[in-house]
Order: sequence, then structure tokens, then C-alpha cells
Amino acid sequence: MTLNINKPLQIFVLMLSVFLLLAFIPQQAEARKGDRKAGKTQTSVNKKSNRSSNKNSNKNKNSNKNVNVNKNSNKNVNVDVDVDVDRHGNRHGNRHGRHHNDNNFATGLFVGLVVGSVVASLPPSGCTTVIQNGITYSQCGSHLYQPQYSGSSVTYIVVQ
Amino acid sequence: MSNKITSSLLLLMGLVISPVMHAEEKQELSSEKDLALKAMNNMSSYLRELDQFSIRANIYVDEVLENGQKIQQTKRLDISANPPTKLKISESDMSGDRELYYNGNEFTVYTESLGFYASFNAPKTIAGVIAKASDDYDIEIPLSDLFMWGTDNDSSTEVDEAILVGVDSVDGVSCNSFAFRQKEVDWQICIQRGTSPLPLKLVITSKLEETQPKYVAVLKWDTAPQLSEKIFSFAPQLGDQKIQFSPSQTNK
Repeated sequence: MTLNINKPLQIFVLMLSVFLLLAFIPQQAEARKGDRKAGKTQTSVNKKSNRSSNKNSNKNKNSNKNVNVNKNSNKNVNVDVDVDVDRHGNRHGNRHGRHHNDNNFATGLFVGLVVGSVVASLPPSGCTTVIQNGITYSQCGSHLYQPQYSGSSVTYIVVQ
Repeated sequence: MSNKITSSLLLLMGLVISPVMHAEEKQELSSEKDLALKAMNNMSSYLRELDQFSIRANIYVDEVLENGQKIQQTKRLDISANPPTKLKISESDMSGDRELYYNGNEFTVYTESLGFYASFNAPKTIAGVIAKASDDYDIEIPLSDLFMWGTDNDSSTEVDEAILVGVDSVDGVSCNSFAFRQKEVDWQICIQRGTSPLPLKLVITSKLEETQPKYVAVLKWDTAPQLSEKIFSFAPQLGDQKIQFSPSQTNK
């Protein structure tokens, strides 16, 4: 008798743990991305810039700043597992759900949005494009974002 | 007695011969450097003479985690160029895809999956665009070396050492492999043998980074493509929105 009750329970627990395990994989991957160093692999042997070589030292200084930004993002990414799972699901369906990651900016910051901060992607659904005074915004629920290009990647400034 | 004479004779011979050998070795090394630089010059002028070309490239680039672990990322590139005023690049990787357009007047970066694009008024040449994109917008034009070799921005003069590695082959095409050392990077290139000295493979090691991450590019060339003028100019699709570039982070 007890065996009959326990067996479905056992199966349920097993399924639940498998589900949780799978659900956490994208989150862990995302958290690791946040750990990325801002140090850059050089991609050319010739001078690209017209500016003086002092530029390199400035670059290094700034990249340290970026490391701090990434740390903050980890905290927030960990809060919401479903965001990552959904986002992958929406990748091809929803234009705004497209995941973009840029090492220099916070990834997946959906909880506790700070106005003026920059995020690398929008919530996976419920976003529409609105144009105000000729400027393009993405509205997701009560939040308003201004998309911009940071390098060749799109990032979003939290406006509201 | 005779042993003593023999050994001192040998010693003397050694003393006389060794500087000679050193000198020979040095000369050989410097001529190897000359040979390598000559091969680079040859390739560079061939590149500069190409009327138009298309390249399909695979890029393997190390990204370094904070713990020092290197993660290799793959990028796929399609480049169409009609130098010096026209360039179109499609790039895709794990984080998405983007297209770069340059038609001699305007440079545009476009992310089709998001429906966003941004443009700036472009300088008169591809080399100028590469500099402006890097200096003012933090945009890295992929494989920019292809457009820099044989120009004022060529850094061949900064090569400290160069050796001929040997004959290699990339995707079944035979090529001469050379290795170079500069202050910040070590790099290796395989140049197609024969009458079309094209770069088939480029490996760059960043020496200033503690873990010495690598960038590897493997190139497939078409030096006689049929390129329509239209492909170099960006034309937004219905619903695409123009957005702004954020100011360069590295120069502020």
C-alpha cells in the first residue's frame, strides 16, 4: 500500500529534479558569461586607428570599469531563471526577444531596473516599438528602453 | 704530449670557427626575415591590386574568463569588397548576427533580427572607415588587416623577428607558412603558393594578455565574384528603425 503511494512520488521527485537541473543550465551559462574578463584578444596585426598609441592605455583603464558592471549583472541574472529559458524559446519568434550579449554590459537585467543603466537584451515578450519625437523606444510593460548600438551590438538604455 | 697539442689545436679551431658560424647563423636569420617580409609585400601588393573579391571565413577567437579559462568562439563571415569604396560584411556568432554596409558615402550597421540599424557619414576609403569605426564608434571591422596590408597603416616595419615555418595546406590549398613577432602580438600567416599569393590562414596571439589568447581566421577566396553594386548600400525593410550609436567608451 505504502509502496503504491511512494512510487508516483518518487517518479515525481525524479522528474522535478531533472527539470530543475535542466532549467538551471542556461542560468549557469549566463552567469559564467558575466564573469568574462574585459581583456581583449587582438584581432589584427596592423594599426586600425588614426589616433596616437596612447589609446591603448586608456582602453585598459576602461575595461576595469566594465568588470564591475558585469558583477552587478550576475546578481540579477540569478534572480530569474525563467527569463533565460523563455528567451531561448523566443529566439526566432519574437524580434525583441532576441538575445544579445556584449561583454561590456549587463546581461538579462529584468528585476530592479535602474533608469540610465544599459542592458544587453529586453524581456522575452510583451515588447513593442514606440516612436516619440522621432526617437525609437521599446516599451515592455511599464518599462521604456532606448535601443542603441554599442559597437556593432544593440544594447538598451533603461529610460523609464 | 701529442694529446695536449691535439686538444689545444681543437680548442683553437673552435675559437676561430664559432664566430664564423655565429655570423653565418645571423645572416641566415636576417635573410629569413627578409624572405618573410618579402612574401608579405608580395601578398600585400597582390591584395591591393585585386579589383573585387569575396571571402567566406571562419573565425575562432578566444574569450578569456576571469579565472583565466579560455573559451573559443566561432564566427562566420561573408565579405564582399570592391575596394577602395565598397564593402559589405555579414557576421554571425552565438550572440547574433549583424551586417555592415559601406557604399563610399555612408556606413551602416544593421541587425536584421531586431530590425534596428545605425549609420554614419563615412570617409572616402575602406581604410578610413575602419579607423573611424574603431576610433569613434568602437566598431571592429572584421579582418581589417586585409585592407591595411600594403597601405600606410601596414605595421610590417614593427616586425622584430620573422621565420619561414614551412609549406602547409589550408582546405587542400598549398601555402607557405610564416611566423612573425611584434611587441604586442605574435602572428602566423599562410600565403597561397603560386601566382595568387592570398592569405589563407591568419593566427594572432595576444602577448599582453596573461593567458595569451588566440585569434584564428581561415579564409576561402573568390577573386572574380559577380558583385552587384546594390549590395553595398543599405535599404531598410518595412518596420526597420534607425537608432543611434552610443559614444565610444574607449576614448572618453
